[in-house]
Amino acid sequence: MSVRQLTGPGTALLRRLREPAPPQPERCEFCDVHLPGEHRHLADRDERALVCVCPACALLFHQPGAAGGRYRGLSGRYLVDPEHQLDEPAWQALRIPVSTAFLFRDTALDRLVTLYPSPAGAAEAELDEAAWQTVLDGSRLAAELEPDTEALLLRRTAGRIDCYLVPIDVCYELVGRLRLCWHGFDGGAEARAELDGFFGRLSERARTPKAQVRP
Amino acid sequence: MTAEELGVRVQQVLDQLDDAGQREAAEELVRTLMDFYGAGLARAAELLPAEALGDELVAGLLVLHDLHPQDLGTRIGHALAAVPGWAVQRLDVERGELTLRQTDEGGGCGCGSAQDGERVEQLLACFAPELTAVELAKQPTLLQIGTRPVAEVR
Repeated sequence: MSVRQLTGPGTALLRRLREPAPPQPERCEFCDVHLPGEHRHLADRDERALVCVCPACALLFHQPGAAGGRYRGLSGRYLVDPEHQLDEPAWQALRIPVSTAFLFRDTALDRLVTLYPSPAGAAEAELDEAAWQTVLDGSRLAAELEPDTEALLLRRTAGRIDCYLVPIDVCYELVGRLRLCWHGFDGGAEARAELDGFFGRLSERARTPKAQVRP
Repeated sequence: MTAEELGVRVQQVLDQLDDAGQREAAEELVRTLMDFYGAGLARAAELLPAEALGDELVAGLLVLHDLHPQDLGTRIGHALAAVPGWAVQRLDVERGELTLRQTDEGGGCGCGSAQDGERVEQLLACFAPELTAVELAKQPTLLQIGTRPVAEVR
């Protein structure tokens, strides 16, 4: 009796190559070093894009005005202001067509930009700058908001509107997550669960801004 | 050339590429071509006459692309049709193990079975690559023990 093991390395290779290529690890866009899944980003003001960077390159751009101010490091702070809640009339005035949106000041365009998650990625909403200013006036979060690198992330659920100040890459991460699980017209149950989890983590992480000494 | 031989050849070429980027590009090349041929083959598979399913080269290609319409047992049957003298004794689909038994006694000295083994392996790799092991169970060789011819009395 003889048992022969059938290995077939050639066939195994061809079968592996029938599968789509595995995703390539991301690289630092400045020095090309491989990056782990969790890594830092810089906001590219001119392209309105995020740039993946390694910690060393992120430090290079930490200096204000580096690269003519084109690339700016993200702050990494998460803020919430329990004293200043948006109410329903304010939300109506903003005319946001969806339940979740984020807003930031784009210095290249010199205006506020509102984006919201959609199955095709981040979609831009028409924005009434005057309405926004009215709503945001007196909001500590709006006063704290750094241009290009930070965003106000808003979500309207039954009876309440949450507003967080977050690094802008977090907003794009949310857009990416929702794209992966979006079904049908409004995203479906899976997308809502993803949103709930995401905002749950945000509420644990967010702090109240330090009280400012008023003159 | 069988799919297995092709795969080994591709591996040899890939191994000559040292640079990681080159290797990824070469793999992508093979992937793209396999994708293209596979898509065409999927269409052609529906139009194939039944006898093509037992052809070593055609079946090898179909199996490689998961397009062969017949089940494992039938495909093993095709493989064994090319090496007379062997039949399925046991097939464990779960574990991918196959035991074959010899159907004719042959010369009784076991000659020929070594070559048979290699050919069987080659055919199974082509028709049934999901098998992980094959066992060739040989028939016990029976010796006839008789009485000595009676010595002639002088």
